[in-house]
Amino acid sequence: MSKEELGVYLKPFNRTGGKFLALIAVLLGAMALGGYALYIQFTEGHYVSGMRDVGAGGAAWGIYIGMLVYFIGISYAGISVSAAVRLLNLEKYKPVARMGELLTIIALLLGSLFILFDLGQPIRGVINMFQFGRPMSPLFFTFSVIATGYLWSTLIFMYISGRRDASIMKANGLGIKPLYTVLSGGYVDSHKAREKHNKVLKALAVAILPLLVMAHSFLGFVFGLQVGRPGWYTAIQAPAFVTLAAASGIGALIIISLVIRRTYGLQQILTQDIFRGLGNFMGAATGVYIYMIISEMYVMKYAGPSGEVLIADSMLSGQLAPYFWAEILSFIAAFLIIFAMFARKSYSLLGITTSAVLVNIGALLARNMIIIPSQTLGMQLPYALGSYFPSWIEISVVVGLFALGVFLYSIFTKIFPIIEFPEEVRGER
Amino acid sequence: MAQLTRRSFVKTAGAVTVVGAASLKLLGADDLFIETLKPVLPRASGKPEITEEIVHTTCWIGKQDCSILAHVVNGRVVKLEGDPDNPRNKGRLCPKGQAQIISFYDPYRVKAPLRRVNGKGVPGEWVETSWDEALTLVSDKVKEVRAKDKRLLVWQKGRSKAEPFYDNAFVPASGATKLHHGAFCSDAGYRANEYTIGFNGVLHPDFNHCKYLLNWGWNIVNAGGNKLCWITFNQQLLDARGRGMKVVTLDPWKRGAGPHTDEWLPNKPGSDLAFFLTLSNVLIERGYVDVDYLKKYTNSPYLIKSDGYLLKVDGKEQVWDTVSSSAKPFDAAGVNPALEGEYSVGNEKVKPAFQAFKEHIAQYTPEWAEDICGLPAERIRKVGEELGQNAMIGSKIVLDGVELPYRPVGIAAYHVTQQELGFQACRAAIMAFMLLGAIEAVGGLRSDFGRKTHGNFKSLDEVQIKDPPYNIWLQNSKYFPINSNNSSLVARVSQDPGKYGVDYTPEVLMIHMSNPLLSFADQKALMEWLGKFKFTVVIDPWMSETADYYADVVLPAATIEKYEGPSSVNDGYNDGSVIRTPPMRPQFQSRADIDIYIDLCERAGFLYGKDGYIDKLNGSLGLKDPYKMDLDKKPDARDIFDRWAKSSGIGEGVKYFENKTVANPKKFAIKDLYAPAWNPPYGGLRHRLYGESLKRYGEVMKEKGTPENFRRDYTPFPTWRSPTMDSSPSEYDLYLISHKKIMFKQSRSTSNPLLKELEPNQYLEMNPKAAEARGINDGDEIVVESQNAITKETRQVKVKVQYAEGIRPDTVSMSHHYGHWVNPNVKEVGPAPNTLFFSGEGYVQMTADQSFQVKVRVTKA
Amino acid sequence: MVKYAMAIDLDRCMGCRACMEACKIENNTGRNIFWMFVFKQESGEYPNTTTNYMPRPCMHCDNAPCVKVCPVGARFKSETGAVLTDFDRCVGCRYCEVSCPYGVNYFNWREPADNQYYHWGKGEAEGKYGTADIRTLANGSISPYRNPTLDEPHGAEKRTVAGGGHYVGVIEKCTFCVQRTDKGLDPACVANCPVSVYTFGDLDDPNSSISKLLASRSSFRLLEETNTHPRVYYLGTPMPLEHRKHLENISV
Repeated sequence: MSKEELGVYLKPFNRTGGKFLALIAVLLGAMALGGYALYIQFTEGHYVSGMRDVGAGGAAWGIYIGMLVYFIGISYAGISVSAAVRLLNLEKYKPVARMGELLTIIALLLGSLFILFDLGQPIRGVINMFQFGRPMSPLFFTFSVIATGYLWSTLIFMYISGRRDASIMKANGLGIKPLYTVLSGGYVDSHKAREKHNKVLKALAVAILPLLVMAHSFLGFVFGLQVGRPGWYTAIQAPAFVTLAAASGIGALIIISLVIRRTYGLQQILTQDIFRGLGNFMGAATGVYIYMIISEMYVMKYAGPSGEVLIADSMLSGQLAPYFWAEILSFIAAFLIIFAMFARKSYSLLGITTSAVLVNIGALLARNMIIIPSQTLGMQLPYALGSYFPSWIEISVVVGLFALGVFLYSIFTKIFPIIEFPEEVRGER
Repeated sequence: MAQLTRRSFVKTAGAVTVVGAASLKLLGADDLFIETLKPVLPRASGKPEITEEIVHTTCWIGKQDCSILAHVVNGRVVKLEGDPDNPRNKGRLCPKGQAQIISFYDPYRVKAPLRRVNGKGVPGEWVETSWDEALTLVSDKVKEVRAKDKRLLVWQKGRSKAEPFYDNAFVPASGATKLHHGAFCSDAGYRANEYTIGFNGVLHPDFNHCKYLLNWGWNIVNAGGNKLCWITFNQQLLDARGRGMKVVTLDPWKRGAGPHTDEWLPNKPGSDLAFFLTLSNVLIERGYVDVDYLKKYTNSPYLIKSDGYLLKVDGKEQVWDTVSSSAKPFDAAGVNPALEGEYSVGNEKVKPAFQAFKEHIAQYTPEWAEDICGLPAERIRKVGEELGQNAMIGSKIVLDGVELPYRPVGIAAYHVTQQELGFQACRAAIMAFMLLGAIEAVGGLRSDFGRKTHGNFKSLDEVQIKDPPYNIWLQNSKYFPINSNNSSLVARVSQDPGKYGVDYTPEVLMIHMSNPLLSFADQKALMEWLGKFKFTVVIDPWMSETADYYADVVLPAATIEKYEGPSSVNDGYNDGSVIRTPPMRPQFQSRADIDIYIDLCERAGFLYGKDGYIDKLNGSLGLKDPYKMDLDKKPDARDIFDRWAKSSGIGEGVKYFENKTVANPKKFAIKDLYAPAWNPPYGGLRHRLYGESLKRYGEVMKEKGTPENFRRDYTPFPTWRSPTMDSSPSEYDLYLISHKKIMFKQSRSTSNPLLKELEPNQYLEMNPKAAEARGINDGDEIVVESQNAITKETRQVKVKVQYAEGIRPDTVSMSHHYGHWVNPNVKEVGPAPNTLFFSGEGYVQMTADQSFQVKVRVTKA
Repeated sequence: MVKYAMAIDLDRCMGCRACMEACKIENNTGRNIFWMFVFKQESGEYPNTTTNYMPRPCMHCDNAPCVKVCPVGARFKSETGAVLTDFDRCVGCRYCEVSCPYGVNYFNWREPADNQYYHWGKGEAEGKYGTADIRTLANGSISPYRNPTLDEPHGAEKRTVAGGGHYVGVIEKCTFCVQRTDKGLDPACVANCPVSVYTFGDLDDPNSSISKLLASRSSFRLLEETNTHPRVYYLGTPMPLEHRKHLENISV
């Protein structure tokens, strides 16, 4: 491969203009706002949030938990694509593998931060989880499997898959040398090394895939095991979480890849073909998820106890109907767009992207619609019905953490190749 | 129980193993998920020293004076618990009793004597003064006004507490005009009882034996009013229900009494008189009449002349003796008087009072009452019949070897008199129970726990109606011959004293724990009245609306933390005495009320000597030698109670109350409990079925030129007419009533943040159908407008609507406890219904009692 | 073994909410926190209406969802069967709160100084009408009627479970008044009920008043279908649970 060809992969390093700096400034501003909101929250207590006690008119879990679930869902995409690439030798998707891994890591980090900021005693939360953690609690796995195991495995996975690129960067004298020295960890690119490398990654992928299903399922079980909350207690909660995670995660990956493709002009590498494949997968997962919502709603409405019916009614035709139907219509529109392209065998990037955005809007709504109505309306004793709307503090924290995610992602693209170098690139001297 | 502990788990297994074990157990054992053993988390040692003591005291909020064990830890009261020794509360407290603990520490208490520095009628601006300065200021004014005319000093107290110190010693010693908290309460009912059957009190049931209870309102479980209404009644009611007592509730709104009601009669507000008259109609029609009782113990057989007055020979009422077929003195030996028929005595056509009653009552059939009461005729008839059947007329019971009439039918109707026709409604209710012979019979109607004939039986029969000038509350006047002393009326009179024949205007006002602006009807009139005083002092732990707008000086009184008393623990069956002892010293700069009074009397110059405060206290407390206080030595509250205790046979003196609660406990003997067993039965009275003197008053009033609407209800038998409010124009299509809640005592405890949390807002309670017909949704803010049918004045307030299914569609209700604007805890929670009620003619009637009912209309705000 | 349980006679309750106040003072709970709560509602249409009152303490379930879900073992079942919260260990995730079908958990959204009935921490303690700082009087205690004995540890493991520190960011709920039952007293609500709605005692003792009561009258438990095995038994006329027309509202 020529220097020019390699240069394509290095485009992100070269294009750092005013727009990028402006973006960073905006993100830093948003993060500062989030930080200020957090400062208020932890000096005044969670009273400054929109959350209140269940039964006393509110919801004890609000958008923090909603965002936690959303981000953990998003995290599904990257690592699963990456693992699939290694396992099934889907070389086609290799260019988005690292983007996916990074997405997973950042999403998991944000998810963990949302848990932490939701805790009344965050410091105690970290200490006590080590000292007294109870595996009998479904939340334990959210802490351990997701926040720790999953995050660490992905980090390791990404590290190993990145060693070769780091050594190539180092060999070519590009970028920040000390960083690449550390990251390459003594890797010297050779055919043999590459083979060994691929073997390790394959083994890791095998190990990560069940963890993937488990982690997302356990998040589902955090809700699905609670008999006390109408709307949560359902056997398909875990599969539904995994399915929506797949749809929204792939959707997020599509959006990110597209942004990177356009920003850095990587049309040659990130081909339409990749997007078509990802789009199809997302469409299929969305279709399955729609099917799951319908069957769940049907059961709630048709055979549910009064609490379930109340929530179903509220979502179908009551005060929550605007949100619910916005969610459902987003999913259906996303699905139909993909399906139409599939049927006509003609894909457009615009169509795929629109669909991905719709899936993510739907997912954001869906995550919060799972969590909140079951608290505000799901009292099984005759408390007055509650309501919940996030306060500006919560919204600022969410905005701040979103900004943090984008910030980290943007910075990463400037310090490490966001697209894995192809086989042809030789790092050997 | 699971033997797997968290620790062993962690020791033996990694996370994956745990997951495996957990999923294995998932199918079977719940135990795994239940934490049973925990590792020890060491805590910092060096625990501070804790001293805990228990002080016996009594509640300070309500009327029950429930006994309390105050838990004092390190000098702070941390909990108030009921004292099991007091039969009234049996170790329990109502929500107010529990929540009042916060009043010790309330930062919005008046913490120091305050002097106003701005004009009156607006929120006060206050400067702190010393006690010395404040007391001098007040006592100088009192001295000055007393020198001029003692009547110009007016005194009003809010709660019936420690009467020997205030009402019965301070008032006579100072010569002040005392205004009652009454008339607002149930005074018309007291007057009706005293006048009709000679007992003090209002329509109580004998819960220990009652089997069928006619219950007016929700007083029995929730509302306030009578001394036993908060805890004792509830306990007795539930015990009686446990024995199978049936409860019929007469109330436009079924709420508090709801779960304890078997049958609900939602009658129209203001129609109670018609309902009770109809009961008598049904009882007589079906022959449920206790002839024996009526003949022996009532004036039913007394012969009435055609002019309506009793036939008297040598000053003695006559009866028609069926044995000799002639008129004879009622107390002649061997007579068997006739209750019915018409007879001739000389030229005079006469008939027994009962015959007249029968003729009078004949018009009041259930069908007649149907529209007036808003109840189906058959339901009223059914209650009448059930009452008759359950009364078991003629039956007897032997209790503790005493044979007594047994009439297990009762009535609880304490506040039935808070309406225009209240006096006569109460009288009509008593008369229905007279027909049954249930007056003070076992299981029957009781009045209260006065175990003796009340002097008013005679004095209310012999009122001498005077010509003007009258005193400020129109005592013995041609307007209100039987007078209950009503503050709203006094306010009305002072707006135009000449009109009512009053020739002076009071100048100095002392208000003790009362808040007239919120407690009484007609806030507007009250404001004008209060603005007229030259000097006003308020003794109160809190800044009341009255104080904030009209006080010149506010003196901070203590709450529980003081000596006060003595109070009775009478629960209807047992008695004894308690006093309030301080569990802490008075908080901030507040002082015990008794100490304040002693200092005031001393400085105003009427503490010492004959007829001074000490002298009057000796009398009001009933101190016997050698425990009487020296008339020239300033006493101390604790010493006074020591003398009182020793004087009433408690050898230890006041120390007794530091270790025990109830002094001189006793259970009433059956012969003291039921008037038919007294010697002589009923104190030798003839109960007044026929109110001859009422007729006489009406005629004297007419002679003296009293307008018709003041005198039209002075009839010997209660006579129905529609209440004044019904003549409001038809667009005023709803009845407004007010209601009370067990969480609050009048307007006082609403500012308690614990209680306020339970009932945070004022609402207009409205039937959803009635509201929907007016386009009003649950929670909407609406305007309520009341109309005075006589003066045509209208008043408005804004309030939120709350749907209530259990209220008549033509009735709306607001709680009495709101409308404050001073204390930040209760600002802006909604208006007081008292701002919508009117005082004056038509709304203050008969015995000068206030009607808490008015016609209103509601429109969307 | 002692097995504590409570019986609530719905036919006696008059909805006075004295139990709620007794609980509040005993345990020094803050605003909008009701370890004991009394539902009041009416159903039906005029004139055929029914009024119902129903007290709701913590059910102290034997198969307590809250204990199962607590990630750190702060929520646990004590030796007597009371479900307790270790205030020193709770991390404030509120999972117990959302897992409980009965809605008995309350989170300390604010510092006690701000969450008590006066804002003791924020200048309100000076109040009005004369000068005096209530904090001095209360010796710094929040609230001033807080019983310092609540800080004492309980049970074999000496955990902080009584009354509640009411620390910000920590969950709390009814403890069956562990500080009272440890001394052989009834819980505050039981001891204070003016009309003896409650019976409290040991189910393992066949002669206890609660054992006798439950043997003599039929009883039911709330939401038995959720398999929580509550330790609170109800006697008398059940309240319709899906109905939500309240007679009064508590401030929120």
